[in-house]
Amino acid sequence: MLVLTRKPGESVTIGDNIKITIIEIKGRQVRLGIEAPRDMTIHREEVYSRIHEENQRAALRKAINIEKLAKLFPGKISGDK
Amino acid sequence: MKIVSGRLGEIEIDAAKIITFPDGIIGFPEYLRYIELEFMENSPLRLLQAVDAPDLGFILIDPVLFHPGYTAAVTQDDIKSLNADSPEQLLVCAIVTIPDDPYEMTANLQGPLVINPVSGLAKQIINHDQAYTTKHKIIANKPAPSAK
Repeated sequence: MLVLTRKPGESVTIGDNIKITIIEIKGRQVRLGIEAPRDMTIHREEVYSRIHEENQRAALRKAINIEKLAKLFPGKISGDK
Repeated sequence: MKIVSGRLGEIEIDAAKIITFPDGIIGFPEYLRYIELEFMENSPLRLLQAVDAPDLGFILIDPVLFHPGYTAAVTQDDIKSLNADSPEQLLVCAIVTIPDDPYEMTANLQGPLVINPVSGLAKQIINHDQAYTTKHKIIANKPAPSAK
């Protein structure tokens, strides 16, 4: 990992079209501004990781028991979460 | 065209119905093409089968069935990237995780799939609304075990 030290107002560039700016530091929180091409997705890492992990858990890699699933429906879905 | 599904064996599909995820599904960037299949009658669950990987598939469900009022936070950039003009043209579904006890199945409402049925383009987006998690329970009440 490349580690740099920046002050508020200073930036870091990545490649030709990504720029990250430290906007302000308030207590223990850092406010970041990110400029990147619109087709690039930017997410808080922990949220992205959670989706990534859940997708891995959900992906069907081996046979699922269809009979077991068929018994669950219809009429058994909850109306709220 | 013929494809092989790990669950359904060799099947014939309509190539026009193939859904393309230009960025793949998060964590599976190498597979871009999928097709939605019914694999159980009278079931809200559908199979999203990877066209190029027989063993890769995901179970999908319409979130509105168990979470009325659910919306995916689709941005203008998302809409444009799917070649659509408005959010109403898009279909939303959630990936289902089925653990060993199928009654405990959950839907990922934080990372829904958004599909434009006209262009055949799709993507997985991330809902930043704190109300949505990756593990929403789908089935409220497990039937009591029957006495034997």
